[in-house]
Order: sequence, then structure tokens, then C-alpha cells
Amino acid sequence: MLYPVLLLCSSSLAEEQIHWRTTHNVPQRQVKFLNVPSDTPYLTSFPFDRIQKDPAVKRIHSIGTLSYGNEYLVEFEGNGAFIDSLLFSYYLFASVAEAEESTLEFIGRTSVAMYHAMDIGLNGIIGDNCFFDSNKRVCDFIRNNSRVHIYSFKIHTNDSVVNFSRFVDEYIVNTEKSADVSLVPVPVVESVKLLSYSNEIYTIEVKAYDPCGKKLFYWYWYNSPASVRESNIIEYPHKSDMVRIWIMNEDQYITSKDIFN
Amino acid sequence: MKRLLYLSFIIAVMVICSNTAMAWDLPLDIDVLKIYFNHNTGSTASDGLTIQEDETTITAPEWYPASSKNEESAFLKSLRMPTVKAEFYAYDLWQGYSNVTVITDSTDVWRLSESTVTFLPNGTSGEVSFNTNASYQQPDTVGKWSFSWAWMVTKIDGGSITPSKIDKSNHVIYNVLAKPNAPMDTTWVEVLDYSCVWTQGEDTVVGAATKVAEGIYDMDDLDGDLDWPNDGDPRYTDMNDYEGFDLSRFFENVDGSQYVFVNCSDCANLFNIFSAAIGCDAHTMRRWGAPAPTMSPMDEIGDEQIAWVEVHQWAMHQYGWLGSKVYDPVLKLNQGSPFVPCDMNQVTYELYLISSGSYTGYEVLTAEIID
Repeated sequence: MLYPVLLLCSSSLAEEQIHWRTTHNVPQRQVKFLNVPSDTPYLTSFPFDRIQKDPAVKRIHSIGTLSYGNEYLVEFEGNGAFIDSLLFSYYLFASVAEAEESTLEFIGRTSVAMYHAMDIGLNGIIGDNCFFDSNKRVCDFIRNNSRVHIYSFKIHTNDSVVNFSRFVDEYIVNTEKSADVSLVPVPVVESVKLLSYSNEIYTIEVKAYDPCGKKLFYWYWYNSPASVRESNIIEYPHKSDMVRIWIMNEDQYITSKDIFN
Repeated sequence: MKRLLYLSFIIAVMVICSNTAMAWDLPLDIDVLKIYFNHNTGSTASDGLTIQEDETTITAPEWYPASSKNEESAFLKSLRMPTVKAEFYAYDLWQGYSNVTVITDSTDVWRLSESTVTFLPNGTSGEVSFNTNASYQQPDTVGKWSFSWAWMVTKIDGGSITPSKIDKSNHVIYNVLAKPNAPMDTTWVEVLDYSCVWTQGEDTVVGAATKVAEGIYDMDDLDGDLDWPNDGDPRYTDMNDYEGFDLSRFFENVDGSQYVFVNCSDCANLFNIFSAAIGCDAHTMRRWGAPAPTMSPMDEIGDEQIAWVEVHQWAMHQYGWLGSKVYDPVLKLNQGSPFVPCDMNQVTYELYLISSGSYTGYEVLTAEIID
């Protein structure tokens, strides 16, 4: 059964302006995304260095609790002199569709109900597609082929997540882009091989490399950060006819491969 | 008469000589080589449980100083009088003795009663069984204890002496309610270090499980608390099935980070794992509904200050489930005073938790350890 979780206040939007994706976790939910032009240019690198040097960013460091990549704690000076501590991570993909699937996986697994910005009066402010929780303490947005995830913890000032999300989005908007997807330095998948199948577990070997020689991490869809591994041997419990394998380098540049479809 | 006096003199000399031969050079030069707490891995009727540390099963002898080994041991709380085995080595058999009687002395609760240790000519003793001293039994509650045993010789070749210390051993033991359950069938010491401390002195399932849930809510990382992430994203639970839990990574972060984030699934699985480790038949309950219900004001895990204005919309929620009752370590509710929901009827719990809407879907799950 599919639950249309996201409030539809988008009556002004024609169906051809949006598309729907379905989360994989139970209960499956339909999540809408605004269409983006097929010729949307590609961000070839995420402007992290420039963001961290901005005077409004008082302090930024990786908190190091993930087994892969980075999640950053940011002290950001929002409105006035009040400084908020926020958590921030970013991802770069070789396609908008992969970025949307990545956001979809987050929406599918989080306990918090997420709403498209168009349903809570914030559309067009941040990203091509942007999602918030009801308290605006979480923002997950897609701009071009990048995905940004920002949230607060403990007590925070109102709108600090919105403000910092806009701040990051402006950097992405103002970063040079390319029409050539081959310039996006995501990992390259050479092959996916089924090694064995027993007790309803598929053992899959993924051969991939990073164009910049960076370390790679692997997982399959709707797994949480707990399941990201350095091993390229993935054990997948067969519960679906199709599964997406994600391959990410240590800069959070990601590619994916669908199997079983 | 002279012959009688002469005979008496000879007998007196013999007695004196005999006493001289019994004047042992104390303390005897005997070491305790090894101590076995879980000496019968096929049973828990008279000895310890099989446990693990650093993902490696602890094997007897748990105390073996020559191998720099001093491992923890665990027992069922119902086993008040466990049997312990020990091996000895005598370096001074040249004194002429062949066996000694040994007891343990301790300022702590648990002591062993005397047992005779017989040495082979090469100085070894083999494994010697010691029963628990009936006057100093193990505690009958859940808990963790650190203690020392002074190993005392009380007799040499059957002759009593003033108790003489030959060695000392230090130990850490845990008592659990019952045989640990999945996923802690072979319980982790790292888990017992939390569960048994939180539940020290408890002797009921409800009492212990309540202390576990409250313990998780108040658990420390390097900055003193686990934190609820406002993105509600699990960090340690495998969302493929909501059951897999990366326990090693969790402990690594708790010991090394001030930013340990846990959502409801993480906390529910922690409750499952930490209470199963002490013998509770724990599970988790996952609930979902659409549209997402609105929660009542709550104080989520880790907030530095209580702010009863937090109003979330949670599309999904997962909490601890034991004896068809709710244990939810991810939050405090407020019904006059703040409390971690424990041993609560599900209907009552969700009445307090949800201000509007409801969950319709549910599944009962059991945590699994992933690596």
C-alpha cells in the first residue's frame, strides 16, 4: 500500500511539472519532486573549500562518527551575532535522478515526517527540490546534481537551518558548472558480479575505481549509515526484484548501479 | 626406674625432633597459576556463562597471569554457590609436604570454601575444584562486582597451621537475571559493563528493564549525553530490516566522540540488546502511520535542558518491547513529572505520546548485531 504522505498543496502545479518516487521502506510512501530541465548542468566539484572560508562560518570540522566520508559540525553566524551549531553533509552525483534517489532513501528511513518546500510555503527559496520537517530543523535539498543535508541538534534558534541551507545553496548556484557529465569525478563501476546465493542472501562483488584514486565505500539502498562498508563484497538479503548499489568516495562523490532489474 | 626415665627421655627427644620437622618455612612458595570460572561451557548449572569481549569468546582459565590474562566472568543470579577451579604450582616441595588445604579470604561478599590441593612431584596440581563457602555466597541480584581473593593455606599435609597467604587474585564478575537472549546469546562484556551497572541490585525483569531504559536515556558519550538528531536518521540501525545494529561502531563512538546521535530505532535496538544481555526476553516494536501523527511535547534524549515545547511529526516510531509492555529510552514524557516510559501499556503510552493522529502499522522485531 502506498501512502501519499506529503501534503499536497500543489494544486497550482500541473502534474507534468512534478514526478513521484516511491520509498523502499515499509510503509512505502510516494514523494513528489519538481521536474528539472533535462539539460541541467553538472556541478563538477562541491564548493566546500569556499564555504568553510566564508566569514559567517565560524568553525567547521568533521565529527568523525561515520565509518565513511564526513559529516561536519558547523558554527554558523546567522541573523545577527547568534551562532548556531548545525550538522552538515553534502553529496555529489553524476545525475539528478541519483541525487533524488538518495534524498528519497533518507525520507524513507527517517522517523521524522518530511515535507516538500512547496507544501510549507518555502518553494523556490532553496534548491531545485527541498524538503523540511515540520519544525524546519532538518533540510534536505537537491541543487543540480548535488544533495545537501543539514539539521540541528539540541536547542537552536528559529530558522537557523533554513538560513544555513540558503547560504550553502547560494554557493552551489554561484559555482561554475558543465554540460559534460564526464567531468563529474564520481567513482566508476567496472562490473557487478554475483558470487553466490544461499539462504536467501546474494553475495555480490562490485569492481569499481575512483578517478582520483580516493578510497571507496559501498552499500545497497535503504541501508542506514551503519551499513556503509569499505568492502566491495556486498551481502544482500533478497527482498526485492531490484536493488541499487551505491559506491562513494571519501569526498562523498557517489555513483550507483541497479542490479536485478 | 632408671630404664623408665631413659625411655621417657628418648620419647621426649623424638617428640621435639618431630615438632622441629613440622616447622614449615612459611609462607609456602606456592603460586595460583590459573583460575577457571566457566569451566563447563556446556552447562550453567554450577559455573559461569560463556561471554565475549572485543568480539572474541572468553575461554577459561579467565585468570592466567603468566599469559597476562585476567578476563571477566558472568553468572546467573540464581546460582548462589558456583564451583570454581584453580591450578597451583609448588616451588618448595623440598620442604617435604605433598598437599595443602586452601581457602580464599576476601573482604567482599563471595568466598570459596576449603579444598585440598595435592601436588605431583614436579610441583603441579592439576585443576582443583572449589565450592562456594555457604556463608559467603554470591549476591542474588543483578550487578557487577570487582573483588580480590587472598588465597590462604590452612593445612599442610592435613596439619592445621595459622592461615598463611600464598597468592592474591583480582576479579570482575557480573550477575544476570537469566540466560541471555538473542542477539546477546554470547553476551558482550562491553554491554554488561553498562547493563549490570545500571541494574545493580535489581532482581526482577521489570525492575531491571526499567533501569536499562533509563540508563540508555542518561548514557554518556564524551560530552555527557547521547543526542537526538533532529533529522531523525538512524546511525547504527540497519534500515533494511530495522533489526541490524552496528554495536561495535556505537561503542567506538561512545568512547571516542562527543557527537553520538541516536534516533528511536537506535534506542529501541539498544534497549533490546542491553536488556537481552542480562536475560530479558526483549524485542522492539515498530509503528507507522499516514499521515504522520503529531507527538505531544516531549524531552528527547540528550537535550541539555528540558523544553516541553518539542512537537514532532513522526511518520514512524520504534521502541523497546518486553512482556507486551513499552520501554522507550529515546524520550521523556510529561504527565505531571518527566519520566522515561517503562513497563507501560501500549494504549496508555501512545495516548500520552501522540497528540493527534495515530499509528496503524506495527511489527515486532528482534535486534541483530551486524559487523
